[in-house]
Amino acid sequence: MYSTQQSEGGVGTSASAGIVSDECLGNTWDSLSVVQSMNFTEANRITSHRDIRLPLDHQLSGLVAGTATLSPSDKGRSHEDMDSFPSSQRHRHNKRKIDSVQNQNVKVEEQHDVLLESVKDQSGKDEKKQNNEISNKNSKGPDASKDDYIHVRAKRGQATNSHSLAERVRREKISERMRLLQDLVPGCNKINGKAMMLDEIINYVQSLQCQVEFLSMKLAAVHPEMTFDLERIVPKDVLQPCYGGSAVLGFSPGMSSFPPHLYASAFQRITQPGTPCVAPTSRDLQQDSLLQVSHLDQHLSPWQNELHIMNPAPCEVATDHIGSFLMAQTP
Amino acid sequence: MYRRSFKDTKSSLGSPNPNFSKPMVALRFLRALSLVRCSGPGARSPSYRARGIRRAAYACMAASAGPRRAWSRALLRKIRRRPGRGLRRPRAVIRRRRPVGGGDPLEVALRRLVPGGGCMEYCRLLEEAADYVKCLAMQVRLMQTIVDSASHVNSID
Repeated sequence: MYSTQQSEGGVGTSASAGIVSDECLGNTWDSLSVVQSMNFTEANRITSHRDIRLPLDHQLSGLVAGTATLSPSDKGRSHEDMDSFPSSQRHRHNKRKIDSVQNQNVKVEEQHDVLLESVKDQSGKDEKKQNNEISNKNSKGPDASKDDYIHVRAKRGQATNSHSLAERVRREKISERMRLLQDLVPGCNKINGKAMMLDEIINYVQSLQCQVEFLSMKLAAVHPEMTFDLERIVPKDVLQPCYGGSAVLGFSPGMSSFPPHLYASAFQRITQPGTPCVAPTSRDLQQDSLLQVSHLDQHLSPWQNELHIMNPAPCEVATDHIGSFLMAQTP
Repeated sequence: MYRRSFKDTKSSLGSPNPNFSKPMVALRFLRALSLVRCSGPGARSPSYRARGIRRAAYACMAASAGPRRAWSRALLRKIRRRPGRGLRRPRAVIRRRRPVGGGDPLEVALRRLVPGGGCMEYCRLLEEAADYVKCLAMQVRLMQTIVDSASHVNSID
C-alpha cells in the first residue's frame, strides 16, 4: 500500500511556494497545516484520492504516494511507513511535540519502532476525529526525507490537525506502555479497561512492596544464625553459560567440605530459567555502589566510583556466597 | 552530581541492562546483607535489622537497574539521603517539574508508588513503572529463594 520511496529534503520547500512559504516558518506540523490550507484553497482540485496532489508543483506528484521509511528495528519488522515532511518545515516545535525523537540516524529506540508499528497498524477506517472543524478526507502529506523525526501519517478519515496528530501519537505511546505493563502483571490479560488495568498495576506494586517488607523481616529473623563469611571466599571467575566469558569455575578452599546437594539446589532455585543473562559491563561500578549502601558516612556518590575501582574483581556468582553461608551452617 | 556521573559511566547504551541478570542481583544482595550485618553491632533488635535489610534490598535493586532509570536514581537518592545529610547543595539540575494532570486518582497513586514518579510525564511514568515492577518482582523472588534456602538449611540441622 505504501511505497517506499524516499524524497529529497528540498522537495517540500518548493511545494506551492506562494501558500506554503508562510507556513514554512510556522510552528506546528507545518506540512499538515499546509495541507489543510491547501485543502481549503484548492478543495476543488483535491479529489478523493488518498494522495494529495499539490497542484503547484508537479515534482511532488510522484513523491506524494511514497513514504520515507526508517530502518527496520532489530526485531525484524518489515518496514515502517511514515510520512516525512518537508525539511524546511521541520522546526524545533516539531521536536518538542515528538518528545521521543532524539536520534539523528536510523537507530531508533524500541519504543519508537513499536510506536510506529502501532501507528502503522491502525486501520484505515479508524475514526479518531478530534474537535477539529476541518474534516479532511485526504490525509496524506508531501514527503521529505530526513530521519530526524518520527513521522506520523494520519489515516483516512482521521483528523489531521497537528494537535490531534500529536495527541494520537501520545495516546499510542501510552497504550503501548500499558500493554507492556499488562504483560508484566500476572492475571491482567482479561482486563481491557485502562482504569482497571491501572488499578491492578497499583495493587500489584503495593503487594510486591509488602512482600519485600515481609521477606526482609523474615530474613532478619533468620539472619543472626547465618555467618556471612565473604572474606573466606576468594572470588574467582565463574564460568557461566550466559556470560560466555573465559571464566573458570573455582571454589574457595574454605568450601571443601561442602555438601554439594544443597549448593546445587540453591543455585538452581536462584538462577531459574527465564532471566536474561547478559555479560556485565559496568559490574564494578555496581559493586562499588553496593558498598556505599551500608557505609553511611561515605561521600562518594555510587555512580562515581567507577573511577575509583580498587581492582576489577572477577565475576562472582551468587552460588559461591550461597554455598559459603550454607556451608557455614553445617556443624 | 548524579547527572554528571551518569554521563561518565560506561553503562551500556542499549535498552537491556547488562547487570540485570539474576545471579548478579543475587550476588549484590548477598553482599549487602553481609555488610548490613557487619556494620552494626552484634545485638540489635530484629526490626532494626529488618529495616536495614529492606534498605539493602532496595539499594541493590536500584543499583542493578542502572543509572539510566529514573526510578533507580530516585530510589538511591532517597536511600542515601537518610544519614543526616540535611544540607542540600544547590544542584545545577532542575529536578522537579510538576506535571499537570493530578486529576486522575489512579495516576496520582501510581506516582506515589513508583520512586521518582512525581515529576515525570505520564508516558515515562508508565515506562518506569514497568521497569520497576520487573525489578521488584525479581527482587522478591530472590529474597524468597534466600529465605527458603536458609530455612531449609536450618531445618536440616
